[in-house]
Amino acid sequence: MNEDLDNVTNAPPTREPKGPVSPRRARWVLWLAAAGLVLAVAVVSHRAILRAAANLLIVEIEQGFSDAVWLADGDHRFQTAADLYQEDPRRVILIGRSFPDRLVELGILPPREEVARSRLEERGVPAGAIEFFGEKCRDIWETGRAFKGWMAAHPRSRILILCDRFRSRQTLLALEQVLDADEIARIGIRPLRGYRYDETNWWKVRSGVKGFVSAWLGLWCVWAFGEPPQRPEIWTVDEYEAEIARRIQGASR
Amino acid sequence: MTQRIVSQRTKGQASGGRILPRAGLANKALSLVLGVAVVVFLALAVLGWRPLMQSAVDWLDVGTTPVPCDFVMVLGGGPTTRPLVAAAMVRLGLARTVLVPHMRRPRAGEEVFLPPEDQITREVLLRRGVPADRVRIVGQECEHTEAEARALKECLDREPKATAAVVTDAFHTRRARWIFRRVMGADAERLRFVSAPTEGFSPTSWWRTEEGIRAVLYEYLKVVAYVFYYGRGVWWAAGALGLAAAIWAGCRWRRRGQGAVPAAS
Repeated sequence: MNEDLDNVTNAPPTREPKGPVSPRRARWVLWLAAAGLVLAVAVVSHRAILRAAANLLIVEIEQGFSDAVWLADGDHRFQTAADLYQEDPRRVILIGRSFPDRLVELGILPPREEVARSRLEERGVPAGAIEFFGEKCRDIWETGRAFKGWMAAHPRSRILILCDRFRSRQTLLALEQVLDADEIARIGIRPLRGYRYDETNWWKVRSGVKGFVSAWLGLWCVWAFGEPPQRPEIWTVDEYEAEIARRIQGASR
Repeated sequence: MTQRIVSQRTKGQASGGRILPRAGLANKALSLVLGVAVVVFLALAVLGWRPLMQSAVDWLDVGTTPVPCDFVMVLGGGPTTRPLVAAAMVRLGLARTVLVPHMRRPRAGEEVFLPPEDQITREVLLRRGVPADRVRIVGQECEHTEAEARALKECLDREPKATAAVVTDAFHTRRARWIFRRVMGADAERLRFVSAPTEGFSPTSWWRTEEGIRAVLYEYLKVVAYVFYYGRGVWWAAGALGLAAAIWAGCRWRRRGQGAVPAAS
């Protein structure tokens, strides 16, 4: 025992055995190689990765003939709706009435649904083919609830929703929170391509990056929080100006 | 003279000997400090959640009290709020002329839904009592804040003694100020930033509403993106990485040095 101890204590300073590669170094080499591989894959296939990230935002549900088309949002929606109407004039074009913003209150712009109607009429959709639903809807949940009322009044209708491409999953998710499963089964979703970008090139234009980030944030908010329990207060023009005056005068006091 | 060497592996494991008391104590102290830090952080997060969230939105707002100036510029993106602030400033005699950035026009094939934003803003100003000769459209196809800053710079270059106020949403003022300073350099001293009252969410409870979360988080993302894209964010990040690597290498070197100290005879 003592002899063994002596052998240990009197031995020359112990060093790592000089093999071909020490285990620690081998581990580091492995980590570096893995990181390099991930980086190389990311560089080589960044298009596929970015495209896949955008594809997660998009949902497309085409389910045969639809007898109504709801213009939710998105570029090309008027032309797409007009084309669908020309394809089969039995179709009804639906527009949700939104909350009139301050520009409407000031008389600068007509209500959005009126603008939509005039854009559709310019494209050959007669006023009789356009139906409005809801009243002063402030967000997708309120519009969805009004839409639910329309669906109840038209129990056999199948509806195609035209919406922004990157907002399509968010729209479906929000509608799933207000519609029943059998109502969801009656809707289709056509995500509309933007003027300037889509999932194949969004990272090349500034507005595409903004749209992508904003869409992910919106999707996350709808998923995480759902419908807000109470809507924020909306000031009229006079109330807003009173607030401005209060701040300016309060600050100068 | 007998020299006894005890080598110590990382993470306090003894190799061919025992753990040195000094290294063991250091590890224990480090664990204790880390534990206390985690507890303090959690306590702060729970108890100070509200002030933390409020300060997050307060940090974005660098708006100041409006003072008399020659121009007031209405940044694009908020035609329902920002022009009303500019109009109020003109009515109160705090500004002479309102500058409205010229906005992007629809290209061929794009559906025209609403008039261009600069025209809407101009109309709001006129309806809220600003005389038509006091509204000036500036720049060309401004699509982002930097283009608006360049448009304002052109105006101020022509009038070297003029001062201006820039009106935008409260949570947008910090990024706007950063961009204007970057574009205008020393001339940015002639600017003041005025916050338009925020609608849709309250700064004291923004994290409870989708609008608030969207606005504030999105603004933070934009701040980071701008710093990286326009600023020296890449260099800062590279520097921080280099520093972290140096600290890590230093720690390793020290630990190895500690592991090979001669034991007392």
